[in-house]
Amino acid sequence: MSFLSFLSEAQVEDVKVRKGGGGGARKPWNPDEESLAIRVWKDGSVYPSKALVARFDLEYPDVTITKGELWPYSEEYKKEYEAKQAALPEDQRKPLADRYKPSLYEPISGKPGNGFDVIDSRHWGSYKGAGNMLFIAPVGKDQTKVDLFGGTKYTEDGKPMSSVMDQGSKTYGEEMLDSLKAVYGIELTDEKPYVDLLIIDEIEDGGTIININERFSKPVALFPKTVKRGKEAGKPDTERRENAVVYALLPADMMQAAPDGKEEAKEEANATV
Amino acid sequence: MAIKIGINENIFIAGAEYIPATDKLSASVKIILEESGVTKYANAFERMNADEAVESLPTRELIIFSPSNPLDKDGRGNVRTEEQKANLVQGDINSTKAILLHLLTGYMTSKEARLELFEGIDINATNYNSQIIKPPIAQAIFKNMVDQFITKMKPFFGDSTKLFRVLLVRQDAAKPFPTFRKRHIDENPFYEPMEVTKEQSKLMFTPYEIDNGLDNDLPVKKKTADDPSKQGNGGAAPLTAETVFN
Repeated sequence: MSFLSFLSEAQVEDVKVRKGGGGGARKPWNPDEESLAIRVWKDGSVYPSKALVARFDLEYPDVTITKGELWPYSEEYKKEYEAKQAALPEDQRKPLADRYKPSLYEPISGKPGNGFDVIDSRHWGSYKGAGNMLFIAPVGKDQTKVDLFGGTKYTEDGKPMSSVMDQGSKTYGEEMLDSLKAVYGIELTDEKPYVDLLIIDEIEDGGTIININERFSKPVALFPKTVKRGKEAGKPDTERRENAVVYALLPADMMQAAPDGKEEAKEEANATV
Repeated sequence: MAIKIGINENIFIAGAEYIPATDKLSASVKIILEESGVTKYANAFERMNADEAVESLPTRELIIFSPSNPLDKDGRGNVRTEEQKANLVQGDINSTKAILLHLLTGYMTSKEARLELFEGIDINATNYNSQIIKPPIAQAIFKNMVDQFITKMKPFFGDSTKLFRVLLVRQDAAKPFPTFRKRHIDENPFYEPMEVTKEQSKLMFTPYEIDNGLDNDLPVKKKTADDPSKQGNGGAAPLTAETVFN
């Protein structure tokens, strides 16, 4: 059995549009609730399936918020600031604004839950393989630079303002769309406004089971990132993760079209990190 | 290419060694970096007898000294409190700890890299300030760190399959010799696997290092004979890592 024919058996056909709850048509934002999948929309928003949220603990937890205290500037800094202001034309001077220490958001359960890092093998230095593919790894929401479902806004009493099911995380959207096009040749349009991507831990190739978790997860990994803010926005970057478990992230449509992709699939299956 | 101030590529850790204190020098740890793919000669004879003139070695020994004993008075002549002295020693220990942990986490997780500083030493939260300023205690903490570092690193010494890009800075204005960065390593790493592409690399000199000339190996300006304040007053040449260890 070829690599992709296995994938077509791996519940590809089960990725269904979620049924509306009555009272008229409802846009099917999320993938089929039983699949382990994310749905990427053409605007870059990403929605998880219900099973995925449960399996990887993706939901935003209730938190206790400790508001940041006033953080006074040093006298030295104030003097420096005032001297710089004095050198400016009067209409350009601004008083030094108060600053506050960041507020602390502590999950009441003690568990921050997870988000996902998305790994495009084209930019992953450790990846050795003839073909490229996307990977995904659950990482704690308390980590920095989490690509998907890393954070949301909270009400003053510590309730998340949206569920991870409804949020439509867009923080990684542009990169995700670029990766889909470059790696899987998928371009989302008005006619094809979304794609479902399955999270897979094992692949069968010609009767051999390839354990994605074992082959691609390392105790220390440097996942590719892009600087999001500041002077270096857009610069390629990496983020260190420890004991992250890596899964394959494969388009459901592609898996259904398995027979034509046999050779390429083998090359990818032989890849390592 | 010699391993020098700036960014060095394809480097691995060839070894490390604890060097006990002598009459003149405090204890230290020597960390040997080696550049992969460069011919290594067994001794000076073989190197000199090579087909071509080999001017530089593929290795570089970097020395980190144990904490110095804080003086009783600061630069302005004010008497230091016990807490101030403790902070100074703690700063030195932290600096070494940060370097060793940074090197270890190139090979293992943070949990595996953890160093037990106070193992077997009579120091705790209650007696911390009074104990840490005692030279034997500070030295024992340093030795603990170094011994554990060497034990954890031993399986990887000489492993040229795992290569790193390493940024070395100048020791100070008077010493144009490479060393590890000592401060703010979390935000400004000096070491990363070669699998990180150049575009992704986080290695760069900080504005402080650039402003203070720690990004180059330009020779130290010679003292001017007509400036009495710059004239030496005889005696031995100052000790530097270069004069002591090379």
